[in-house]
Amino acid sequence: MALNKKKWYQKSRTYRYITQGIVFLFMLNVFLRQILFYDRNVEEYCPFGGFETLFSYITTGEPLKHVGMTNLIIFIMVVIITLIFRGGFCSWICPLGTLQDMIRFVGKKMTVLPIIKPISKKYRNFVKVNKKDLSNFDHQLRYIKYFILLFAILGTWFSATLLIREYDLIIGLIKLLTFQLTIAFALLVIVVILSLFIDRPFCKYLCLMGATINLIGMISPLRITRDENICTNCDLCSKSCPMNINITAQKNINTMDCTHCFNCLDACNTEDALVLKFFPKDLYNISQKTEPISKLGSETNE
Amino acid sequence: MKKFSYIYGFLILIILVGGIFIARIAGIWDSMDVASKSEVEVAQGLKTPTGKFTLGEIIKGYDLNKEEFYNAIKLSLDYTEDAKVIDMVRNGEISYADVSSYMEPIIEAFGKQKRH
Repeated sequence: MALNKKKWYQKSRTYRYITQGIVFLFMLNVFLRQILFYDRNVEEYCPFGGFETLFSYITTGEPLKHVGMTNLIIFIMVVIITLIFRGGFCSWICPLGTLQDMIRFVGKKMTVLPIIKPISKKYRNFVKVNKKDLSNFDHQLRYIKYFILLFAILGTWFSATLLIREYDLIIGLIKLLTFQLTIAFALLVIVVILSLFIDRPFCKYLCLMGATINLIGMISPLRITRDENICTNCDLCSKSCPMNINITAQKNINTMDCTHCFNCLDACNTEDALVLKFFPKDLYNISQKTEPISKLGSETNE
Repeated sequence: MKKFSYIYGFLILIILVGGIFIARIAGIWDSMDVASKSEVEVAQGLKTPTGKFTLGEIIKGYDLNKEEFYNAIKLSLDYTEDAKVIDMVRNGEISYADVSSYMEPIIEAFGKQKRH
């Protein structure tokens, strides 16, 4: 049964924007206070930094002195949250994810500019023509972050230092303010440019916290489920998914990349076709078709 | 469960913030088993990025050579050790970049020493 178009308060994204806004403003405050008044430290709030603190605590019995226990506690809480709520931290909390969303919003609006419009049209045609190859390429690229995660864990253990710290995007930005150009800053610029055209490129391909959450989140009992008897296969859900998940090919959305942004729930026009459930049937059945669709940028405007 | 998707993010936020508060109340926050509180504060201060601490505290906290440290941050040797780094940076007497570039490797090495 088709529903009338949802009002703003009936969409999950309204409430997601609110939580994202709260966290983003808080972290912006921490960042500004660090660079202006020197009395805060963004590293205290990085959950992946909690991994380095954990390592320090295991090997020396002490946390890292410049952040204390803060980021370790945040890391533990994110793990607990992921075990219950799966990938929600990425979509609803992470300020870097929020930043990418904001840049993507600007990127979509830019496509109406006279200079950008023809380029955007050529890009869409290119994606359309090479759909299958791009889909496979995108799918393979998603594995990079897991390899980097393995490297980071093993490298940190054997070298007694967090190897990837020098490539942390926020560290790169902070160092720029003291006139130090780093690889991290170059990486940040690349991510910002890519975010204009691709939804959440850092989350998809490079985020180590995201990789950790994806792996842990597989245990979570919470899933978006699709009722095949009700679903009309209109594919609006798949087109609205920022992680390019092929939703209509699945009964339970078991794809690791699902961040529970609930864009699909908002886009779905058929009542109860897509629902959020704890312990759905066939919860851990991962034999379903899960390859992403080749859409290197949302086709629907939010 | 439809309305659950509306409050999903708020629940995550509550659990996240709640966990931090509980850790603080339970005293886990302060359970840093280090040699001295001032050593912790010096390290914290230096990473944030400069210290709310005096030159003397930094020299003592990290076993620095005073002459070498003063030369690195371009300060004359007769300058008092009681001056706070943060005030000196704000007043333009020293540059944060000089402090940071001298202290970062020392802090990293200090951390490594504690691990081996």
